[in-house]
Amino acid sequence: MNPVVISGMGAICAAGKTTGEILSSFESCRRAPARPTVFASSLDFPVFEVLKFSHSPQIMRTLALAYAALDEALLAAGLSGDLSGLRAGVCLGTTVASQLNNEAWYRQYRSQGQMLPEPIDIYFKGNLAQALAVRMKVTGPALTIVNACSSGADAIGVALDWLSTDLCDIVITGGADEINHVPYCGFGALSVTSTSPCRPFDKNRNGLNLGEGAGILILETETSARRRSRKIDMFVSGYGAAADAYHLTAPRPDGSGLEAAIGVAMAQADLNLKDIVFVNAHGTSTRDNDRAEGRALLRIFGEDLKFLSTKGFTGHTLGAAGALEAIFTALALRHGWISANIGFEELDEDIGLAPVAIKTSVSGRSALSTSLAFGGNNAAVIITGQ
Amino acid sequence: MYIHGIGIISSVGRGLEAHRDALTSGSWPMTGGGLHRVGEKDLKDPILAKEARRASRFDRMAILAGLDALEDAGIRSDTHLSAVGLIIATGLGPHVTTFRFLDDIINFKEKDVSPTLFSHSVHNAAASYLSLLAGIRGPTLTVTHFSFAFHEALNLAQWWLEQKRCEYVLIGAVDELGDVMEKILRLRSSVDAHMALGEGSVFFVLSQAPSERNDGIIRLIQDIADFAPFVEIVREQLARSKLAGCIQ
Repeated sequence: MNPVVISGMGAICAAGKTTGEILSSFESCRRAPARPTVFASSLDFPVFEVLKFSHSPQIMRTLALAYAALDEALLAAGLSGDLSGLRAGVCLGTTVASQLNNEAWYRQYRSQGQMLPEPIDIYFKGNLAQALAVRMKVTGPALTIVNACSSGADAIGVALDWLSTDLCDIVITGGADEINHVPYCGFGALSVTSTSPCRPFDKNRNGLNLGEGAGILILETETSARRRSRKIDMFVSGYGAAADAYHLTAPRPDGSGLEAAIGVAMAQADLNLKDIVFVNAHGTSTRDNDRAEGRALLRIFGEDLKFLSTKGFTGHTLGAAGALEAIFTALALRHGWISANIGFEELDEDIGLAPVAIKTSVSGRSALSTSLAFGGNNAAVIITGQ
Repeated sequence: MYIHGIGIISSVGRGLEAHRDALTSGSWPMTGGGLHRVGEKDLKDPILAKEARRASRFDRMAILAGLDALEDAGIRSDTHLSAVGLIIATGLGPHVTTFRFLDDIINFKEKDVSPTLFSHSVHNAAASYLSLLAGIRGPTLTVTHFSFAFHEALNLAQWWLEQKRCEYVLIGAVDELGDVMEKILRLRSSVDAHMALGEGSVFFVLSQAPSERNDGIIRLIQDIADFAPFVEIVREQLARSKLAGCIQ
């Protein structure tokens, strides 16, 4: 496989509006989930919202979050906002931005029969990959992945395929999603949201907190990065995906789908299990996800595995989660530490594996980020340092 | 890429025979209101009764066409499960269910909305059902693009096969037409007032190896067009997409 370089990363979420701010929150164990401010609700589920984030009313919040992360990633990659003339593509994941779920617009349509055009226009301009391709003058492939919670990780996997098969030299990839009343009610109805700050992998975990954000990676072939004289210190070295074929909303309890996805990613990266220095797990803090995922990780890597979920800092950012967590994985390899799995206090004997409870040093070249999706898809992304 | 199987459902019916007849006769009748809607009778099948009884109309179109394609290809549930990947392309997703869930939020208290409607309003519910019913354990993706979802997906299928991510790719396109979306599309300047709107689903089983079927027909996707001209068209569409006024 042609090496695929991470030449730029940008992130925004409740933990910070840049990768630097987020690392600072991780280091000091800061988190502040609270009631949503972007809509009114009688429900009592705290969320991880990006506060003091303003954007043009002419674009979706999800798209604005993606643009914010894109600006940081482009700066880091030494790229301008115009990729015309390059063999570039865009592949991004989302969930909320793919749906026309503007509640105020729909209420007005129902009550008055009047269909205001602006929200429709915003929706049709909001397909993430298409919108970024237009903004960046990208003339290569543009694809939006709507694979629920693994969308961001799957988008990275598609970008990896485009680059390693020489379809593109540069791909903008990642994911974005916003706090929205529709999934807020929907996840509440599914009884998987918690009324308290989430506790991934803890014995007494009782559900997830929704979050929002965007993670954007600029990936390019090593040849392209060398031609542009970019610093090369981080690679996406493997991606695997596999379906559970089990249930619409619940993960396969034995985690065999996740195990298969990890196996494919490991084979592509040509690594052994001992080469993985830590795992940034999906870890939503739901009973089912953490049990299936934790058991699979124990079975595959053994009890000495260092692993964590960062959702205690970010909430579950849905289509952005896989991308944000791949970025956090790369940053941890670069800086040599992983954060505490905030919220974890007590081992769940039913899982039999405890995440890191404090900031922990890591040394080594490769780490794994896992994603499990509503709908039964599992994704694994491997990041390798120089 | 070789086509090993095809499944299709549209306003003329379910299956290749119905479509061959329609194409041969040149008759593709509308189903009322100047639309090409899939008939309810074509969305009934015993296989849906147990595992997919709550599946939405969008999901049913995808499930039935997808399973028909697998059957046409002779791929059975005892095929090595990770050998089959699944890609579903859609422009608008299951929007009828999204609007139904919005109805729930408006009609009831927030805590009383239907979890079933919510779980079926996500774009990848159809892929979930299809992988469950067919036993597909390979990579499974749902992708969206307002203009070229299927073409982009087809390209991806080609890379999956070249990368040996799977031996077969079940790839399909599905979109539904609900009343609200019909109004929206009529409102948009890009859809002519007299244009017949429709819905349906078509799936292909693709592989790099030729089909062993001995009927003298070569089913092959030889090339997928370059993207650059498409992007120009999309840009033009986006530039023109400012909507003028509103409708009652």
